[in-house]
Parts: sequence; C-alpha cells; structure tokens
Amino acid sequence: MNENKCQEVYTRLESLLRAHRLDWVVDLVAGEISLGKTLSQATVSGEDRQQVEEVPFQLTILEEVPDEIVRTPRRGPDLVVEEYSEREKLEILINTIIQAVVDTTLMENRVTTFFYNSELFANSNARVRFIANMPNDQSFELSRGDSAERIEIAIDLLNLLEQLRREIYNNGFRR
Amino acid sequence: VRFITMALEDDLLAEIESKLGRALIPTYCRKAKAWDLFEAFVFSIILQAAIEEGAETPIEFYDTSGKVSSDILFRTSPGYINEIEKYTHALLKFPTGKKTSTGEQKKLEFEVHIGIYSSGSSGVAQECDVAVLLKIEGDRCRRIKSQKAVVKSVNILIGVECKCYQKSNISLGSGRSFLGLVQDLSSKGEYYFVFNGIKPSVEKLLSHYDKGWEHNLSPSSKKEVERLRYSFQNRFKYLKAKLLKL
Repeated sequence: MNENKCQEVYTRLESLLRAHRLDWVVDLVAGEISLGKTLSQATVSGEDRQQVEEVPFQLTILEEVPDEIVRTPRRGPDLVVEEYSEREKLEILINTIIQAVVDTTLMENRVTTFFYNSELFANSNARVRFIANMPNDQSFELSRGDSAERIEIAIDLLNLLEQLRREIYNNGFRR
Repeated sequence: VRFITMALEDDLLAEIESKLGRALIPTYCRKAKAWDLFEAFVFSIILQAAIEEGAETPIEFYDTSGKVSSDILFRTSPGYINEIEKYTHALLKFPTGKKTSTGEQKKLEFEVHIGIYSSGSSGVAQECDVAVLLKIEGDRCRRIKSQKAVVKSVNILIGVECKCYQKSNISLGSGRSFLGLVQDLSSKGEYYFVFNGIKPSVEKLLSHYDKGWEHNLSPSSKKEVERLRYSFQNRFKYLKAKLLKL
C-alpha cells in the first residue's frame, strides 16, 4: 500500500469510527500522532549529526551551586522528534481499533464468564453492576445474554484488521 | 498487481465496515466504561491467581457494612472503604491446615477491592485501582463510623494501577505518577502498573526502578495474562508463608 492509499484508508476508517460514536478513538489516535515519534542518536542522519556536533555546549555556573554538583554534563544520545508516515499513522489507528473494539468485546465476555461462574461464586444469581458515585458517571450492568455470536464477529474483525495491517507494508518497505 | 492490491484493501474495508457495528457492545462505546471493565478484568485475574494458590471456592462478596452481598457491585470512581453505599469486595480465605481451640479450621483472610483510597507516608489519600489487603485492616476501617476511612498503605499487600487507552505522553506521565505513588506508599506491599498496548518509554522507566508492570493486557494476550496471574499467585504464596503463625 502506498502512502496515498494509506491516507485514504485512514480517512475511511476514521469516518467509520465516527459513525459508530467512537469519536474518542479518533481523537486518541490523532493526539498520539501529533506527538510524533522520538528517535535517538543512531537514527539521526550524518548531515544532521554534523550540525548537532557543531553547536558549542555552554553551561552557566552559578556561584552558589556547590562544587560537587557542578560537573561536566553527560552527553546522552541526541533525541529528535519526527512525524509519523502515513503507513505508521494507519498502523496506529488499526492497533487502537483492535484495543477499543475487539479487546473490549473479548474482555466483557471474559469478565462476564468469570463472575457468572456458579462454581466460583456463592450466589449463582448475582448481578454484576458498576455503580457510579460521581455525577457524570453512569451505572451499568454486565449482561448474562449469549454473546457467542458477538465474540465470533469480534474475532472475524480482528482477523480482518490484522490482514489490513499486513497490507500496509505490501508493495512498500518497512521503516 | 497494483489493481489487485487496491481491490483487496477495498474489500477488507467493506468487510470491516460490516463487522464493526456488530462486534461493538454499545455500553462500552464510552472510554470510561471500557476502563471500568479493564479494572474488573484485572480483579478477575487476581481472584483466579488466589484460587490457583488454594483460596476456597465459592468466593463470597461482602458490602461496606461487612455483610454478605447477593450482588457484585463495583465502583466506577474511587471511594472510601467504609462509605455507606453498598459497594462490594471479594473475601479470599486460605486454609492454613491448623485448627483453633474450638476445633475450627484457621484461615488467612484477604479482601480484594476496586477503587479505594489509601494513604502512605505523606498522609495524602491516593487511589488504588485494585487492592488486596488483610481482612483485619478492612474490618478496622469499617468500624470507623463518623469519618471517611483511608486504608493504611502498610496493609495493602498487592496494589495495581490500571491504565487503558492512554496516549504515549500521558502514559509516560502515568508511569512517573505511579513511581511517585509507590514511593509514597509502603515498601512492604507489591505494586504493579498494568496497561493495554505497548509503551516502551513507560516499560523502560519502570524497569529502571525495578517496579512490577505488565503491558498489552487483554484476553487475547494469553502470555501476558498468564504472566500477570502467575506474579499475583507467587505473591499469594509468599504472603501465605509469611503470615502463617507456626
């Protein structure tokens, strides 16, 4: 998939998420992407490296600072921030959809199966509820309904998203 | 080749579109609710670890007045262990193999809570997302009727900070907050930072300070779930041996 196609797929997935009231997933990914990626010294190109090396290092020594604290500063690896490519942006979005939709559905199933297991808990008719104690929170209950079909669909969705993720680097190179 | 690849992507998108709505549980469209579910998921891993280590089943849930509850009620935001609302905690009982003077089986008893306040050396109340403490500490707090009780961190035996759906910058901040939290709370307890996804900066930070963490936590990540469960189980083994009166 080339960069343009990745951008197009990203936009389509973004619309799909908004249509399902998952704007927070879109916003979360946008926030992550806006930070860029931090690269260490090894990835800085030779030309950039030369420019960095030429900047003289200056240290202002204050009289009141004890001698034992004033020492030659340690030169760790240089860090630079670079924007994500369209491929990387799409990969981040796909990973977040997996977490927000697939993992949440599987987690709901796992928690429901566990707490409604009559061998583990004394009251087999117990209801599992999350009770809000803040004004803006909403209470909700774990449903005992049969979620087998939903789990099957979630796993299908996982496979499709993983396949789409693999396609990102088809006909391209992995950065 | 290009035409086939593009067609494949479009087909994939169409299929994803048809499945997404049906895979989604409407209740969890909101981030906050998925977060509550994540804490309950970690809570279930702790109970499973305790059962593997010999805790009695069936497990009973108790409300804040100390009575057996017919339902399981979790908090969605932090609260005090003795508040009058009927939130519940699980009671774990480990047989010791010893008998009391009246011939009853002696048991080690622990409580498992979601979202309670605890306080350490600073005296500031801090939220503990999932906490395991001695039942005697829970009873002590619940006997306080006139004021809100905060659990002494020295009595929190396992504490877990849960994070899900975090941006990388917030996660690093969360990792730093967790270090501050652990610093403030007692060194006797064992604290874990668990989250979904993978955040190398947080993992490096916590590893540097030798703190417990688990990443990529979800039901589909069997290796991570098993590793965390085993960490908790190992902790219960240690606590059983340490607290048993010979």
